[in-house]
Amino acid sequence: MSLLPLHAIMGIDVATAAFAVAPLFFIRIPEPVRRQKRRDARIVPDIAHDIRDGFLYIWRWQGLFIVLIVAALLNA
Amino acid sequence: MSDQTTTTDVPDAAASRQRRWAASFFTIWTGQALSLVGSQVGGFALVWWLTQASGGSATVLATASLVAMLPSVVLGPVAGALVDRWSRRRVMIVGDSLVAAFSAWLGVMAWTGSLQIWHIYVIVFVRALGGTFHFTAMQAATSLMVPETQLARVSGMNQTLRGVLTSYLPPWAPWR
Repeated sequence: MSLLPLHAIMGIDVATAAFAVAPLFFIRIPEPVRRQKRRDARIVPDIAHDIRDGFLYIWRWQGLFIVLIVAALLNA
Repeated sequence: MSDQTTTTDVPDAAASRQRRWAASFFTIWTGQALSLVGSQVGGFALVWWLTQASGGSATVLATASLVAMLPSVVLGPVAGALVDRWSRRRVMIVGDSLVAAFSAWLGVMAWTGSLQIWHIYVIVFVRALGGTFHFTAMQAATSLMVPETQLARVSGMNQTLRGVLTSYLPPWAPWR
């Protein structure tokens, strides 16, 4: 901390963030195909359903489930 | 020339799209890598500041760690479902800009000498929040931008980047 004060380090943080944001304005990122527009009132149950689907997907693929549990334990 | 070129009937447009993925992907990737360097140094500097300001108080540091972990624990599962329905590009732009705006605010506070410990809690929370959405969106974007045959290689590059950042940058941060 002796060479650069905190505000300068925050300045570096802001400057490097600009490098990450700038290209995103020019480059298209592909989107997955959507089944339908989901801008209606059902959005909350819809999200809950998606999360449940995600967990079930992992649960049913036993190998993946074990790998994730081991990874979680190693990370703790 | 491999025999693959003569036997496959990939249309020219698809073939050139295959070749061009690298230019767009690695432009974004390089920006992300730079931004991660800044975040890593910044994050370490924040902890350093907290340690000095609080005289190494365990309560203060534990609170900061808790605030840093809560968003990913609570929002992690939801973030994926949300990113799936929002534009990944917009999620990354908004996430990164939000974090940068708060960093700038914190910089001003540090500059004017009015920085307090709760300010650090706020910024640590916002960083973790932005990071959770940003990371999820980047992962989702990666699997769509990178051809399947190259995914393992890109994944390895990400792992290497992460390892280098977490092991080499923290000792750097206080020296800077």
